[in-house]
Order: sequence, then structure tokens, then C-alpha cells
Amino acid sequence: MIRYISAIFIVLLMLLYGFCEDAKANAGDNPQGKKIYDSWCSQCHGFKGDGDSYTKDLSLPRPRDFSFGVFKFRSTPSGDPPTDADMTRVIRNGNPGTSMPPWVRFTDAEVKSIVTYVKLFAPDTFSMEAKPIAIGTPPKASADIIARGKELFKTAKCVECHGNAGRGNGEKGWQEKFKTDWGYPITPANYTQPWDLRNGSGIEDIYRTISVGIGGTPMTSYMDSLTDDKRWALAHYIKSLQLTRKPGVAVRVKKVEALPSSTDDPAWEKLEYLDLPMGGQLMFEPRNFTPVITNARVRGVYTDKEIAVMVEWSDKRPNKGGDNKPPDGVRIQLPSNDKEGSERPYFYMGSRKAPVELWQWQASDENGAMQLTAKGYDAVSPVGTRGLSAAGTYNDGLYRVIFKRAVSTGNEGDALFQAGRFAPFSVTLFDGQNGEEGNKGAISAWYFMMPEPPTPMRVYVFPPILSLCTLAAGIALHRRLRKKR
Amino acid sequence: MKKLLLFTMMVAIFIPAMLFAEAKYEVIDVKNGGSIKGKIKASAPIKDPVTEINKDQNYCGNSQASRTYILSSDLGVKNVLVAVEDIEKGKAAPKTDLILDNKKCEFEPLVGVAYVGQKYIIKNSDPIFHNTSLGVMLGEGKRRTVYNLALPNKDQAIEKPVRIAGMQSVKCDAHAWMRAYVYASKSPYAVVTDDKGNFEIKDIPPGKYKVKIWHEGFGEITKEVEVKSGQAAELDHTFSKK
Repeated sequence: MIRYISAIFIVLLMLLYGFCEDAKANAGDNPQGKKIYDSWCSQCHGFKGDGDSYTKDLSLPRPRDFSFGVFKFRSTPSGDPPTDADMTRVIRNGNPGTSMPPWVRFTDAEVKSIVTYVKLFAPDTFSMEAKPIAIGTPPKASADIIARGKELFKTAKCVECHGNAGRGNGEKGWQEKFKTDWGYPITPANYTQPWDLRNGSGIEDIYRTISVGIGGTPMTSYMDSLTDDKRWALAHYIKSLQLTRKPGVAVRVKKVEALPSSTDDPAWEKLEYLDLPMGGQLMFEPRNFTPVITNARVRGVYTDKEIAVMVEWSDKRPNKGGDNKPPDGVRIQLPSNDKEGSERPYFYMGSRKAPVELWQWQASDENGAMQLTAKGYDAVSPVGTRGLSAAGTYNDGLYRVIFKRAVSTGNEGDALFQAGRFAPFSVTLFDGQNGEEGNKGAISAWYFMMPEPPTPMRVYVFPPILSLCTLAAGIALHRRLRKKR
Repeated sequence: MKKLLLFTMMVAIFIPAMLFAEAKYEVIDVKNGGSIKGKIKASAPIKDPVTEINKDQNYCGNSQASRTYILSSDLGVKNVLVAVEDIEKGKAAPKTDLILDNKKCEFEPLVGVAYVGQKYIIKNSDPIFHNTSLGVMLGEGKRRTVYNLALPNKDQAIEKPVRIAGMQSVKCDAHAWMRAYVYASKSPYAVVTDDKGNFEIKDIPPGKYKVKIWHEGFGEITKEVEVKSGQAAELDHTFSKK
């Protein structure tokens, strides 16, 4: 009996609690929207839509606080709420580079009910009419329009925040007060990495962003200050800065007569490269839930004696190790004691049984290299340079670091490079501005470098001989047929 | 049945909307109004801080007066906003627009009053890029952006309707030191003190009101004032720096 009464009492209490908690949002009479929201969205965005959830400190950017009433991604003029279509787009496509996934499991009606429900969290914002701007048809891309956009990029002062090469490294983006409405620091977008562009990377997306800005951020609206054709020209220029990401599993290391002399040697541009998607290190403390480096571009070249590997990545603000921030840096990880057929070590810092060697460069010492051995994340020790040299430069938001070593060191256990052999490697990158050092970095999986075997002589000999033989046989046949007639 | 459902839904949508909608302001003919006048002073002289400039120094110079504390010889404080906050009925707000100018790397005026239903005219008198971002101040470093507009060219002007009432901060993300404050009012009963710290608000329907006195550096205080027909209610305040 007592159990009965207490059960009823608890249920009543829960109902009452639920009523109080959700009174504000419940009023929408949208049980489907609320049900889906509470079960699928609230974990990050909070039951009250205020972004107060257990994931808030583990995601960068943080989950959107809907109750705040400011929405970043709109197709409406500055100061207006987003349209239902804008919100649907974010739900359906997700938000690249954030924790917001694309939601494909819901029907259109379900998405609509979510949108209706989310709008209830900010009734005053949505009391205003949401009318999208006209986007129209984009003009065709041409060298001329891109050149005009490049000029506008300077005169409209995009360059001051987004930097000369559009990597988000402009000096005004690093002022102390560069913050969002929510009070969080924000950095200007890096146009060269389209996969990071939250508001979309297509030509219309860029045009829309320039026109109406991004709500609650310093990204301002140019709709009233630049004419339509100027905004299209800018969009085309910005689009032209985007890198084409080249994913894969291996990169060919080309054999040459002499290694490129510096990081800006044009010879590098002609080489094949591989893009490594980077993610935060999440296995060991301190974990990096909020990495900012998302890509590493790797290419290599070798001679009879030496091998050079260049790692290239974007960093909006260089850190040399002052201001209580660690220096930026890079590590290439290679297996120690690598033999034909041996299994690759554990992908992060190896293990006691299968150690790895690390080639390290830090921005605090631009021309210095260091080698370390690791037998696990907690057993990393420096071993000197061991014949490794490195040189790094930072230019317009781009780091380029070259590591150089003898192809064959003669030391037992050193990473092995042989023509035609796939050498495993992975990369760790550190952004000092983001407080990254030690195990807190952006890491990649294992990939391979393959020193290209020199073209064998038979390639030059056999095909010509074969063609000559064919020719001779043809002529002989021809003659015989003629004689017969 | 369908109609009933629709009706319930409409009601359900409008009830929260009404709850969150701001207080209505009703325009009436004020014949027997009174006024509030007074002087805002500082308890002691205070030095106006100098703002260091770290961007675009070629044009903006290396420093400028912050204009936070502009005091007259008898310690009257300029740029104090005085606004009757809880007024629900009164005269119509004047049909004047607020010109907000980016001039010599600062906003002019520093403190201004805009009227809901009229316009902001946002100007750039400088040959350098400014962006003007208006936002409702929410405390704890948070604000809700109302407009964020780029003004890359000299003598550019953008007009935008004043829609959202309340205290707003104005900033230029390109120049961190630039700031201004705008009070968007539905009524005409909001003013900014003059060089001597004096102000006067006229034609207020008789009654008891809460009056907000706000200053960028000294902070904010709300005082209760009773306005009587045909009389001027005195409202003086002396701020002291904490």
C-alpha cells in the first residue's frame, strides 16, 4: 500500500516538475516536435533550448543556445530571424566541422515539427517576419571576375580579418574584443578549407554570407554597402581560394637529382601530395575535444642520399612559445624496427612492444629538429637529432615544415625508406593558441609514403624493340602478300 | 473540429508570444502633463581615461580621449541617459532619426536616443573601413545583435528601421576601442544630459514613474518620481565612482 502511494506521489512530483521545467516550451502544443527535440536534440542544446548541457564544454563551437534569439546562419537581412528553410538546412545538412550531424532519419514533417518547436525558445526573435534575400543566378566564373573580386577583397577590407590569402589570419581578427554575442572568442573563417565553412562553401553560400553576414559574430553584412555584382565577384574570388582536398592512403615520394632548397621552392608545387584529415587526440589525458587544425598536407621527395618530407597546415595565429602559450609544432610518427611484413605499431605513440620514432619541429626553434622515441603515450623521450634536420616557415597563415634525413641512417631500428616500399607514417600537429602540447594535439591515422622506384631500364628498351619487330613483321607480311599476287 | 484545433494552436502560439512581447505603449493627447528636470553630478572630479589605439594609427592617431567622464566645472556629467521606463501612455515619439556616425575612429554621438518606428542612419565619415554592430546589452558580456553592417567606403550611409526597444551597445569589430550606446525608446520620454549635466523631460502624463539614470562609467540607478500636472518634478542624482 505504502509503495503504491509513494509511486503515485513520485509520478505526480515528476509531472509537476516536468510541467514547471517545460512550461515555456510546452505551450506550443507541438507534442511531436517536443518529443523529437527532447530525445534527439536536448543532449546538446538543452531541454530548455539554452545550450546548457553536458556536452557544452566538449564541443567547439558550443551547441547553439536557441533561447538567446540569435541565429548565425540566415538567408535574411542582418537583424531578421532565420527562415524555416534556413533552420531546415542546418538540421538536414548538419554543420561541417562542428558536433552538429546531418539528420537524415527524420521525415520532412518531423523536421518541420522540430523547427516549429525550436522557434518557441525565442518567441520575440521569431515575432519578426523572416524574408530571405534574393540570390538569383550567379554569374559565370572567369579570370576577369576573380580579378575584380581580388581587388574588392582589399577595398572592402575582408583582408583585415581573413588575411591576405584568406586563411583567417588577419590582424583585426586577433583583437581582444573579437567575440560573439554569447561572449566567446571567435576567429575569422579560413576560406582555403571549404570543409570547415559552417555556412556552406558553394558560390551561393559565400554570396549569402557576404550579403547578410553571420548572426551574432563580427562577420558583418555587405548588402547595403556593396552592389550585387560586387558581392558576386567577391564570392568568386573567395571560392577560387578553396583547396581541393586529396584524400588517400599513400603518397608517392618522387626521386629527384637535388632536394628543393627551401619551403617556398616552386618544385614542391609540382609534387604529388596527400591530405590527412586531422582530429583531436581523445584516448589519453589531456584529451583534445576542441581541435582547430583539420588538415595536414604531406609531400616528399628523395635523392640517392637524402629524403625530405614537407608538412603543410593552416594556423590562424602563429605561436612561438611566448605569452603563456606553447609553441606551434609538428611531429611525424614512424615505426621503429620496421621490417618487411611487420605489423604497424599502435597508431598513437606505439607501445612497449612496438615503439615508434617521432620527428619533431617546434615554432620556438625554426631551424631545429628533434627526434623522440615513444613506447606509448606515457613513455616519450627525446633522443637528440640523430641526423634529422628541419626548417619551418610561417607565411600568411600557412606553416610549411621540411624534415630532412639520410635515406639510410645505418642505425639499427631507425625508420626505413626503400624504393618501392610503403613506409607507414602519421602526423600530429599542435596549435599553441589552442593550448596544444604533449598528448593534446590534432592527430592523424596511419598513412604511407612510398619512395618511387626509379624507372627501370627495360621500360626504355623493350617497347621500342617490340615496335620495331612489329614493323618488320608487318613489312615482311606485306611483301609476301604482294609476291603471291 | 478542424477550426477548433486551429484555434487552439493559434492561442497556444500567441500566448507565449504575448508573454514575451514588450510592454505596449499607447499614444494619447497629453494636455495637463508635468515634467521631470534635474542635474546629474559626480561626487568628485574624475579623470577621463585615454584610449590607446592599436590599429589604423595612420588615420586614427595613437590615442584619443575616451569621453567616458565629461564633467563641467560644477561636476555636472554629460552623456547620462535619463529615461522614464515604465510609461505606458503618453505623447507620440518624435519622428526624428538617429544619425550614428563613424567619425575620426569614434562613434558620434557616444550616447544617443532612437525612437522605435523611426530610423537609424548609420554613416561612415572616415576613409577607412568600419562596421557598425548594434546589440541589446544582456549583461555578463553577452549581447544580442540587432544589426551588423559593413561600411567600407567614406560617406556611406545605411538606413535601418528601429524595431527593438531598450539599451543597446554599438561597436565596430574592426576597431575594438570604438563604442557607443543607444537607447531605443517607444516614448519620447528619454533624454541625454547636456554639457552641464542638465536634463528636462516634458509633457509627461501625471503619475508615478520609475526613471532610469544610466552612465557608461558610473553605472545605473532607478529612481521613483511622481509627476504632477503643470509642475516640474526635481530629479537630481550624484554619482560616485566605486
